[in-house]
Amino acid sequence: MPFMNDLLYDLLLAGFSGIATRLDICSAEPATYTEATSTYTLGNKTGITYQAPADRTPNGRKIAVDAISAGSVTGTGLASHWAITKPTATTALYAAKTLSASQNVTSGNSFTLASFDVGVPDAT
Amino acid sequence: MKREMIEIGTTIRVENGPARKTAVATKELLDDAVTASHYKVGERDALGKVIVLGELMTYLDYLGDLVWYIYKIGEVGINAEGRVIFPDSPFIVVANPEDTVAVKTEERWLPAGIETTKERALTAAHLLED
Repeated sequence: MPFMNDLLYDLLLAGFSGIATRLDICSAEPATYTEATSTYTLGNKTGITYQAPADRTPNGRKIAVDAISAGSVTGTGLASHWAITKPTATTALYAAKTLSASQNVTSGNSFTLASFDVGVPDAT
Repeated sequence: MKREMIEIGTTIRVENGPARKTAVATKELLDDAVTASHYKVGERDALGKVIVLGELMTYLDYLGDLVWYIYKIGEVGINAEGRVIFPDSPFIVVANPEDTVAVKTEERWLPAGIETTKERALTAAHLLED
């Protein structure tokens, strides 16, 4: 497919940002919602927010996840991955990746996370 | 394939997702046409281990067929540092802490099986019902 209007990507990203409002830090890359939010979670932040869609490098569109300042650490261990999920009704894992730097966390503390992008490359 | 989660009562779940695989890291395996683009030499694998050519790496096969994971609520021990002590299971991928003395317990969804089809997963899941 040689061309898709940016509007289509923005609709997708707007849909994502409207319902994918929970971020977990995890001790392994989760394959499912259950692993992200229970089995391998070390902490979470609900109500995460996003910036408006923008151009992605080298192509496509992206949205930036706003920096997180006070996530709850619920377990102790080495957090190596993040996962973003839809936390209500028909729950779902929407995105997951390695943290830019793994971080040892301790239950009862809070975690911070710098802003990062979630994007979609152009259709090929 | 669309992602799906099926709950059986309040203690068992079946959910599809990419297969978790372990293999020796090679240039061929790390090609973006074979594994997802975030698996690269020097980056972290699915267990948080730095990927080194010639060494084992674990990855999620986002480009292959989804598999069906079966989960059951179970109690895990928590050691004095707050680290989870998982039960011995071929389906759990993180290492237990060296200090394995539990000072308390908590409930978690624990992997209890993996199947290649939804039907087989549901059959296996129902066998786990108390």
